[in-house]
Amino acid sequence: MPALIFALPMFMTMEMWELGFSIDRSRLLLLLVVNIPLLVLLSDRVGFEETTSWRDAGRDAAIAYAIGITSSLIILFSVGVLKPDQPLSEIIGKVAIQSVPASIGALLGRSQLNGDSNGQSGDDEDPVQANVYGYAGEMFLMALGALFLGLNVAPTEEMILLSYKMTPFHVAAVIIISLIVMHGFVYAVSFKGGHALEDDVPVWHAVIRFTFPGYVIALLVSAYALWTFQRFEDAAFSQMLSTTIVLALPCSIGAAAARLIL
Amino acid sequence: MARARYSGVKTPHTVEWIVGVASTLLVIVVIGFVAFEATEPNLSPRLSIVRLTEDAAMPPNEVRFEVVNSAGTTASAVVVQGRFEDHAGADQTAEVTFDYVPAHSRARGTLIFSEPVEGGNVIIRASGYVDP
Repeated sequence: MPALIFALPMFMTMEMWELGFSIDRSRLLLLLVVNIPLLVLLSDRVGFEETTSWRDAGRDAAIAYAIGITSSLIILFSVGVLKPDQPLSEIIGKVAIQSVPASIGALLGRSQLNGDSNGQSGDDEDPVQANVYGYAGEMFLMALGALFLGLNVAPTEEMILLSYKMTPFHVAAVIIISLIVMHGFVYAVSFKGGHALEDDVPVWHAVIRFTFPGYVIALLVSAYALWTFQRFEDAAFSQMLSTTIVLALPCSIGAAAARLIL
Repeated sequence: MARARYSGVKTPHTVEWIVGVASTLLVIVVIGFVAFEATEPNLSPRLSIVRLTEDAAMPPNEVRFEVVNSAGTTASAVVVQGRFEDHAGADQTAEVTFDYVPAHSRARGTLIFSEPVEGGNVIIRASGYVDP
């Protein structure tokens, strides 16, 4: 199943299993609820098939969520993380938290493995509107890519351990590297799917309009993931910021990759 | 993916500029904050214990406390020991280990003794830590 290809690292992460029973239930609820519009938007832009209405997008999103839940159940029972004698709250918690990346993986997996069949919507709108939707669409894709790569490592102890070991100079270096990778991935390196700026759009245009907002999105997604997985508890603001910046490195690479791949 | 790629146009919408400039400012603020932190001297962790008396429903043999790290580096594997003399004059001890006490942060824990503490003079101290 395509959901597995993308979500398997999280199935094999022990912190995710522990979070199944230790995560604050209101944060888990927020994550599950936020996943719904995320899947609907994703299936509208990138999903299983060309969707012509929000109802179709909603239907595909529901199917993807169900695939996520089912594959989580099957995998976690198969590897022995879930056992029949565990309390129901623990079983549901573990499945619920894994179903979020698995459902995103289901939608992304189908779209990638199916090849292109998606038309482009909104071509007949006036150019100004199309520009804003195009821009918002780019921001959404970056957030999605950031979330997907970030979710894989956000619950792990290595994230906070890195922030504890790093000095402020290391943190500054990580910020610079994140920005360079984000910009270079999409614009400078000639991958297929890369964006070429039109000749008279100066480079700093792209940096201000896409790279910096992309990094801010990576920071926000990183902070949200860390808060959800309870990695911020009682830490001082400077520590929370360091951890956020550390996680923003894979998030920003994910954001750049999403603009390339999707 | 056959998605028409939006790479930006020559005359971008105002929204793009607003978002872009706001993001640039935010990134500059973040870098500035990190640079400010770099000027802080690199001291070893400074640990202190604060006893908490918040929960009246706590069992009488449990003591809740907070470890405060007032320096700019993190302490790992912090061992906290508590000791008090009970009504029979015997020494009661308990120990708890914290995985991390981050810089400028506090971590909470509970010591569980085998006898009720009952206002006895409990001495709680951190007895060691490791660099992460």
